[in-house]
Amino acid sequence: MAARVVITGMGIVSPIGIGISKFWEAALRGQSGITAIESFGDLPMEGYRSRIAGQIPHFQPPASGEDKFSYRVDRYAQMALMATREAIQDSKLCLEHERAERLGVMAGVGMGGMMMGERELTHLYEFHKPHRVHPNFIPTITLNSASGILAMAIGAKGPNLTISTACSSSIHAIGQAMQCIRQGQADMIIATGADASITPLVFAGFCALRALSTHYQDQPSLASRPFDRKRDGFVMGEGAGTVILESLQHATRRKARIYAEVVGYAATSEAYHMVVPKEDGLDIARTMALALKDAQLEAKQVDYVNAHATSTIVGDEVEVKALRAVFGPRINTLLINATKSLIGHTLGAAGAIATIATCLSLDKKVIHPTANYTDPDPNCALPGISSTIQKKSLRTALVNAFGFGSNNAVLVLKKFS
Amino acid sequence: MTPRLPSSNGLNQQIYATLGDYLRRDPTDLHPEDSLRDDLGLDSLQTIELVYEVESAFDIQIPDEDFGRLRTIGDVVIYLHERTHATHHDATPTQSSSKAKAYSASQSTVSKPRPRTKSAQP
Repeated sequence: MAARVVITGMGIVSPIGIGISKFWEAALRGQSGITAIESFGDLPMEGYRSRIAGQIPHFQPPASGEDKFSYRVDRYAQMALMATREAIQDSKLCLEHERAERLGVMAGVGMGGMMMGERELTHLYEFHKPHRVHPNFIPTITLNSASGILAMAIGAKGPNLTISTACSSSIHAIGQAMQCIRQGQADMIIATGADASITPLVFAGFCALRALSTHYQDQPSLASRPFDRKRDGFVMGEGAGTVILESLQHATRRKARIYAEVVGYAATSEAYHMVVPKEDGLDIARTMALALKDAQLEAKQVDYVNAHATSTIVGDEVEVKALRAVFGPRINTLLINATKSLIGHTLGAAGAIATIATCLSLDKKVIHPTANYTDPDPNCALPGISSTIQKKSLRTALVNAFGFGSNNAVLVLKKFS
Repeated sequence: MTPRLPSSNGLNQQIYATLGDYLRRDPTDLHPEDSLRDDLGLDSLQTIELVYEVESAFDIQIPDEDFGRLRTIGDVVIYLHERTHATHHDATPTQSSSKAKAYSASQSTVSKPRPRTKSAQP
């Protein structure tokens, strides 16, 4: 019989707070973490169509004396390390008492070490000195630098994978971690998602895609507004989220606190377009249905959906279409919110952060507001979306994540009983 | 045994400052006999990084075959004396490396965004 999998620890680095309690307090207030980008060095910001982001301006990795790992990796992996340390502390795991071979790491990363990547590229073209490329350049930009450094920092010798599926990366990381424990390949997996690529080139790239919000440069906190009529694109964010997944048997044996059970997961492709979802939403609906089937649950048993909802015009509408197809009349009693309304789209971190918000909602019986949902788009308006907190006893929840490259991922979480 | 180091206070100061900067240590805590691996704990990648910092600071290239000579702080000092006397009479950190560091901090150049016709909906 497949092992049951539970979440026993969480950690977060987000634009509205570093640490679970700060994040959650801010989330329940509906606080926005979107601010103006002051500058990219001496590059004129006027050249950028969008000039706002969900930033963490005061993020500081531990000093090198306290942490010999952080300074060797890029910002995104430093954030993953910080979130992971909090998650381990939260889980009360005594790593020295665990079998290292049964502890794995799965990381979801969209862009990776772009800060160093851009810096070294700039130097090379500016100074024409290939022998001055930094020796740590390759180990830093390699997409698995976060999963690698995490394993070294905590001594995890089990499966170690990085999944890069753009904005859905960390839902896949958590889903694959669940599969791994279900199949008995590990007792525990540190599942993390991280990205920190608000960098001159990457940001220009998203501007070039015409994907970012541009109408709220002077009022950044209003820019991320999923399901609202006046939404005009997503807001880029940065951050990291980590959850500790553990077999129920292992968690019970060590009397761990259990936030939620991970009961279902599905991964699909639309095989349609690199950056836009298919407008009928059928493949997204299929993914949700598959995840529920994996969980052996029916749509009518779901109470809450943490939506992908990036605040793009087409994306939000397609997701609502898919939700209607899956849930039918149940849609009218379903609670729905969008964590990206608070922190923007943190790309590879988004799924892990949404999972954390969902675990907290199951645990605390309350969901955070969808910020700026003040003028509902008739094509998206649903009774369960609100710009204020909603309190309700919740048993089952979905977490949606869809990514560039035409891929979809859905996770099913259940209150543990 | 403590190696005898060449005397050139200005150059030595620059060398120790560069090493201390990379090692995140006070230069006065570094000693010629300190082994890069055993005393300072540098692994192979960190040794390459240290050499990179030295190359950048003194605007020299250190060939692979010279790596084996650099086992202690004193080895690095002696090596740099040899190299800098061979190339410059008075080695100073170069303008280009300082400029590179300033440039690095600002992370500035990108190409201008080019509009596309189909907007993305991630």
